[in-house]
Amino acid sequence: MLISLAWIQELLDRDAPLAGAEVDTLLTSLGLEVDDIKRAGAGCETVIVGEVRSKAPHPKADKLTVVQLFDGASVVQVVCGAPNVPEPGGLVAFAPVGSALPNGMEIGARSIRGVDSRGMICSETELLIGDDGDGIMVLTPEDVAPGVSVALKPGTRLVELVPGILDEVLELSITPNRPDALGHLGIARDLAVKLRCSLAPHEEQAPSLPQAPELVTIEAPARCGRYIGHVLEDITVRPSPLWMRVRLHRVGLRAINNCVDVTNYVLAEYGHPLHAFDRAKLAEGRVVVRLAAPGEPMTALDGTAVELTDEDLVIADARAPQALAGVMGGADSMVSPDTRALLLEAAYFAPPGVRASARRHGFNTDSSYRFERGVGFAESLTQASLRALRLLERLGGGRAVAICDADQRPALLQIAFRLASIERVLGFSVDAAEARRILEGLGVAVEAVDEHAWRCTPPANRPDLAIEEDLIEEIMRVHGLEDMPARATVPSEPVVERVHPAAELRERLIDALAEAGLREIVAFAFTGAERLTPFEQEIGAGRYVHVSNPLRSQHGVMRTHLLPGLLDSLEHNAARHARPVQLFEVGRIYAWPENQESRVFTGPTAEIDRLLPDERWRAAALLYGGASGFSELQGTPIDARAACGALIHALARVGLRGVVRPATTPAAYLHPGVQGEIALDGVGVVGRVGELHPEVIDARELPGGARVFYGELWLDRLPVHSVHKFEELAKMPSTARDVSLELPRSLPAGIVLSALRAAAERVLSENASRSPDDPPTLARAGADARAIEILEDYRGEGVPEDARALLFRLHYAARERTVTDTEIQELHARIIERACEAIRPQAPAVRAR
Amino acid sequence: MPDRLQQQLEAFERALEGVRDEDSLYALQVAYIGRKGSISLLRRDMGKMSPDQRKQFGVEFNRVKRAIEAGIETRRQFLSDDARRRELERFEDLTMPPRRPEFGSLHPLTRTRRALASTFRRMGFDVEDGPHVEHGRYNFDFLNFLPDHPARDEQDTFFVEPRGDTSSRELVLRTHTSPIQVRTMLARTPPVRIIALGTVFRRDEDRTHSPMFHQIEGLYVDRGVTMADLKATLLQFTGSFFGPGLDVRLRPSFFPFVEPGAEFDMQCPFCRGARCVVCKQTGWIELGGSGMVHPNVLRDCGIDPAVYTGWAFGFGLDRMTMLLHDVPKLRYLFEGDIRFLEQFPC
Ligand SMILES: [Zn+2]
Repeated sequence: MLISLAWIQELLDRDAPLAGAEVDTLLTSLGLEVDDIKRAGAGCETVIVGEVRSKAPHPKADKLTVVQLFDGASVVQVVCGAPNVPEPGGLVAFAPVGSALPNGMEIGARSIRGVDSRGMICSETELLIGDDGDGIMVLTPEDVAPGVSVALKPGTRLVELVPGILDEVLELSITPNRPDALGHLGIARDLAVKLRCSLAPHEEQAPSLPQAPELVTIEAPARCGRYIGHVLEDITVRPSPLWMRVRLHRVGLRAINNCVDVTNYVLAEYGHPLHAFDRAKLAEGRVVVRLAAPGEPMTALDGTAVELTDEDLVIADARAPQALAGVMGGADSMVSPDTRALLLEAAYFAPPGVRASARRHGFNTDSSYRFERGVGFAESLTQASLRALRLLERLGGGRAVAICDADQRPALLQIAFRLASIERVLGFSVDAAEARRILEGLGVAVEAVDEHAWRCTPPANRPDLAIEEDLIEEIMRVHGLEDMPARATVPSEPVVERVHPAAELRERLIDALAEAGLREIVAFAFTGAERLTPFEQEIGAGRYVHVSNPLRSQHGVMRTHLLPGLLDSLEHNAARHARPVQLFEVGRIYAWPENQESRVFTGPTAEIDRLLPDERWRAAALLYGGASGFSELQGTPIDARAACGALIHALARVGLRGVVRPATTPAAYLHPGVQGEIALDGVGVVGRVGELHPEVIDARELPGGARVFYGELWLDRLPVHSVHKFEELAKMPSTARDVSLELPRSLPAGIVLSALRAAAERVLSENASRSPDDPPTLARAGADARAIEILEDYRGEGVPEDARALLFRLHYAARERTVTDTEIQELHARIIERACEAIRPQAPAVRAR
Repeated sequence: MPDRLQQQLEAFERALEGVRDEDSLYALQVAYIGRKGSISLLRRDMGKMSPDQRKQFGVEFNRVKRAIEAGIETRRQFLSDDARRRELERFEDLTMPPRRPEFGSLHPLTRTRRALASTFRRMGFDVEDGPHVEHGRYNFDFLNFLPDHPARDEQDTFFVEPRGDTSSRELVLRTHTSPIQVRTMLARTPPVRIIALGTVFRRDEDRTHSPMFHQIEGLYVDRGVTMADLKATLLQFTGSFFGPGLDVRLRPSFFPFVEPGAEFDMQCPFCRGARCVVCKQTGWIELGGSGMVHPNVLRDCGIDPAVYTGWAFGFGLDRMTMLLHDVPKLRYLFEGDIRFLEQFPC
């Protein structure tokens, strides 16, 4: 909202001029945010009144006039291009030679097509004081601002006649709780209390007018608490005087005609929207405040055809709606140049109804903006209405002839206020007299109940004052927070810190994935359904959580997978450079539960929680080697095994030993031959990993043939860190036995490893049951504490074309003794035999070499 | 006989010249003075000798054997010195790229989140989070937003299509972290001292707004908590996070869930109030909103406002991150461009 400092100054009973910077500080401390301050009118100081002595057409140009102008001291010749140069005796705004006008124009003595011109006759637009650029300003005594005693005569400076030309304009952001501050008077009131001065007397006396109850009928009192209708007659519709046009222009309003301008002027001053109807256009000359009939039509002022609903409150005449209450007037009864009589509306409409109507029909007007937030319905409304009446009488020559004040206003709120509450909330005390001065200055009626308590009645235009704390805030605003102490209190009881193991786990996984060479991204939680479906197996589209009003269609679904976001980032990178891209994200996925009944909620939020979708955590990694190829010297190659490594590393970082094994339920978005699942002993599958399917790559803007590797961990399946128990150290060294198995290349090593482990466990436990005295077991004696290791993957001479020889090493030990060669020789041979049997269905030609 | 010993010695010395490694040396040693070595074998013939001859042979034998032993020892020493010398001549180029896993990077938002969380943990706050898809009751109603508050508009809030018995427009993507406060107050009894930290969503996308962003909020509810305590806490926080001596300033403002409400500014940590580009020449950085928890909020959360008071504050993590790392554009945070990410190594 734009606020004119000159206007504010006029409303304050205070002589010392206020500077914009000072007001900025004051308003900020009052909680009114100043976004911008602009100086206005600079350059207008040299403009004076000139009197036309004679005018003649320019000898060489039809559209130019040569004017002899008296500037108060001498007569100068000026060439003017405007069509409306007045007859001799007419007064104009004249910028003499040497002026530098606000629009940047510098006035010098010139020859215009052979005729000397010493100065310029100005229009509003050149002085940046109005929007009328069609002609020069022709000044009349009415243009002089009220209260100015300087006479309108040649040589007088324009800014002395209309002081509002020189101004500072503040742009304020008014928070929604302060409808009273949506006008100059509200701002001035805050400042007056802060500055300890009073408001300039501005109250109008109500004229004694005939009551005309038939003028206004309120049929919907719940939506319209008060409606003051004044009838004015003998109105002449014409442009407003300069002082008013300047003022409206300064606060960003467009001057239209005196009747509309007056309502806008009062809007800007009181923050109270008014409306003027052309009474002759109202059927029976009266208004009915009622709900519209469904489908009832109305054409708004701006030409919009509105189809009303029975939720819309309208101001109708005896026949049809003439205004959408509090939002916009109707075109049928708007003020026109022929208007002779007005019905001036000053009303209170309940905020929710206005908001609903404005939304429904897509309006956001100065009027609806204020009604939605809540304007006053008591004295301020009366005053706004009288102010408009007086201005119309002065500017339009009209006279008020009748009034109807249909008053069904709501009751004012009373608040019990204890003085001690100030310190209880703020932590410092404010003197009782000062607190009272502040409240009363803001229009709150204060009545002492006893020494410690008051009964406070806030004014009707402060709907935000409803409880004691609201009043404390008012005292705080005006008193200021500058001298507030910083005083820490100690909790009244010990506060025990709560630990969140799952959150700790996530943080460590983030660290681990970053250490593994991946770069963390933060992707949007929503994506497009079409981006998700290629990846979905676990969560079907039926369980998607849809956003009903996304900003873009590709943000319409809460993600059920982290891959789309990672691919988006990969695309972004691949479009910009050829480097390797290794990314990860630890984030949530969202889905409706498969089975609502299976979810158990406890605690005070259970009722709500059961209405919400599941949110689960995932950690996902994406690896891409870039377009420029890999060199051994650059580190580890980027391939599917690197993706496995990153995830296994991450698990190891949180104390979990993960293994990759063949996928039992392969993912369709991964390459059928290059994928696996990540499993934990005793837990099962906790993630998957592999190379992205070529079709997934093709669907994205990526270099042709790009290989992208992906893996993810399902964090909700990971066991939360537990305390590890110590196991006694082995006293005797272990014994190792190797075996080289010739296997088909397509048989995953993981299967062979599991077969060996299973065989070893069975053979050794059978042996233990026969000779239970400290029997040999597998020993975690290999690298990284493995009991069975893979040492070599041999392909080549001595091994068939489609086979490979994997060299395994098994470690054996007993608790208290060294195992003997013979016992191990035999057990080892049985283990190998049993393992080969187990894998023979998949590898008929398996043999130990 | 002694001749044969001498011949053996000479043969040995010739052979020794050609020995280039430990193994051949050992073989040579075995071949001459091993149990079945050529020298040792010569002793077998001692039985056939006269006592004189035997004595002379013995003297000569010992001389030759010692000479061989000494020769072997010298050679061994030579070989070992030679091996060490050659080992030390080995050169490896350690200026080639080191063999190590290349580290990745942590997202700057993660750094900010962690730094803030640990600062507030030290100050005795628990760090809490809650669901992203939230019920309007916790996102708005319990926070004293009137039913027709503009924030509830389609304009500002993402609504989530409900499932089953929930009516539409009840579920939202949480627009702030305040529902976490509600949930915590519902679940605990005062003193409640928490930091709510997480992802939030608003229907706004331009140069300075992202539809998804991050917030942190503090909440302290107890007997005797005042606005002065809020100021003390904010001072403690800025001191701990940015270094001591930075002033904090509160300006009255409005938020539905607090009364009184205030914006809070921190003296610019980059110029320490002396005015710079970061603080737009004001000396202050506007951080966020704060105030005393509205009695309606306390009451709805089952806390008696006649007994307890509380304060809350909140600010954005994304802007803080941009400020800390001098990031000029918000969108950099969400694009995942590695040229941006790699500037924040582990
Ligand atoms: Zn600064």
